[in-house]
Amino acid sequence: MKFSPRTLRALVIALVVVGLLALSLGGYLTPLTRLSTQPVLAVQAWLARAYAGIRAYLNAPKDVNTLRAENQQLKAEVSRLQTEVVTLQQQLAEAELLSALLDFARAHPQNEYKAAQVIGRDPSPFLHYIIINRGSDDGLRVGMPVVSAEGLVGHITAVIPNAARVQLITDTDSAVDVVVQPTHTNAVLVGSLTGELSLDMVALDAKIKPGDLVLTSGLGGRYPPNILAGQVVSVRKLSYALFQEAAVQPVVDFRRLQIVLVIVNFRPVDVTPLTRPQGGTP
Amino acid sequence: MASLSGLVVLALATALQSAVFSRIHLLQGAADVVLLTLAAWYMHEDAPASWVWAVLAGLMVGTLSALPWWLFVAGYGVVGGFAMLLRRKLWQPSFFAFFTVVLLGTLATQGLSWGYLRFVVRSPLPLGEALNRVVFPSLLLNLLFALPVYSLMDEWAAWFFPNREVER
Repeated sequence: MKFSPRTLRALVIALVVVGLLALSLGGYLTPLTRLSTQPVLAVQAWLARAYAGIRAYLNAPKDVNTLRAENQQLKAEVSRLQTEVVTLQQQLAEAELLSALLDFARAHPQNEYKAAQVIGRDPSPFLHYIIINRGSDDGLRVGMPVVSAEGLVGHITAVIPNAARVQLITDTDSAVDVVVQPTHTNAVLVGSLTGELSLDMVALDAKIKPGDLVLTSGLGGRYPPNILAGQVVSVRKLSYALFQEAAVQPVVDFRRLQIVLVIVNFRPVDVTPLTRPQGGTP
Repeated sequence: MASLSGLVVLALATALQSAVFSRIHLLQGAADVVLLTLAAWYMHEDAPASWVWAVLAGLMVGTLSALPWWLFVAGYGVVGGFAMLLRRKLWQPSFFAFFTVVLLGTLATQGLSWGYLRFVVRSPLPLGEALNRVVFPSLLLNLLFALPVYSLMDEWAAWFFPNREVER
């Protein structure tokens, strides 16, 4: 049997191919395959990364615009929610305040009240007056007592149809007839330039002490009795003085006064002509 | 038009004074925004100076206050009078002149209020306590607020008198 050179070459190639296939299927060529494919895969990975980068670069402006729009939308939403939170907090504070005022009104059922908002203060720093948003159109009259959920605030000194001016008990010209409990000592509660309250005209033998409560006595006819005004903080008793003096902490925080109640069914008695024929309040 | 807007600005200043600035205290003192607005108006060289502004401002504040209205008219009248005097005497009103008007105006308005309360109403207001607790703190607050009020009024005047601004 004799093969031509051409057939012999084909036979050798076929044997080599079959041999390589057999080696490959047997796993003998794996290290060689790994070594040969590694550079190819590395080049392919680099090309894929480059393509992704170029694609991202080309699509970037569109994404930024979308993000900006979304950001604006979210900012607007946050702003709206923040406004809502503030409004709700204000409503909550107002509801708490009104609830306290309602409690006060329930505790004193003998009085009729008209709620009013504090809209301003006297422009002169020498005076302690507030301006409220209710006036003669709402039935308010000069002299009507004004209270808050905590206690006594003052009384109305001037009224126009839709507003009224209230003299606070801390005003320098304010004097309220009070009774100190539990000793039932009568005294006069006076204001000062600094807004501090003090008790005047307290008899030397009266036994008052820090912690005693100060309530309106009803004397003088300006305020109804038993409205809490403050608490005694300290007492000063001088042997040569005619009266004792006492510092009083007001129960009302006059700097944060927002809503007040006007007692509309109380008719004040003006005893000024009997007690002080000359001079008057501003 | 400028006069009408001046009226609006004064009314706004009065409302701000009662609702906001009367609540901002330094000891017992408070800034007087109406006085500052009035002084800035009078010291602006383009604004028409007249006694009417002082009277109007006094009436507005006097309506809100428990003090008599004529006290404020008199106090603001002092501010207006002194400002107009400085405008006549000085070649060009400066910020320093405005400060001087605010200083003297504050002392005049507070002094008149104290004098009325002390000697007419006979309120217990010792001079030392009034000075330390009210007058000096109010003066300090007025001087602190003077710069922003002056700048605002200057902007506002430039808006209303643009032609005169160009002429200069």
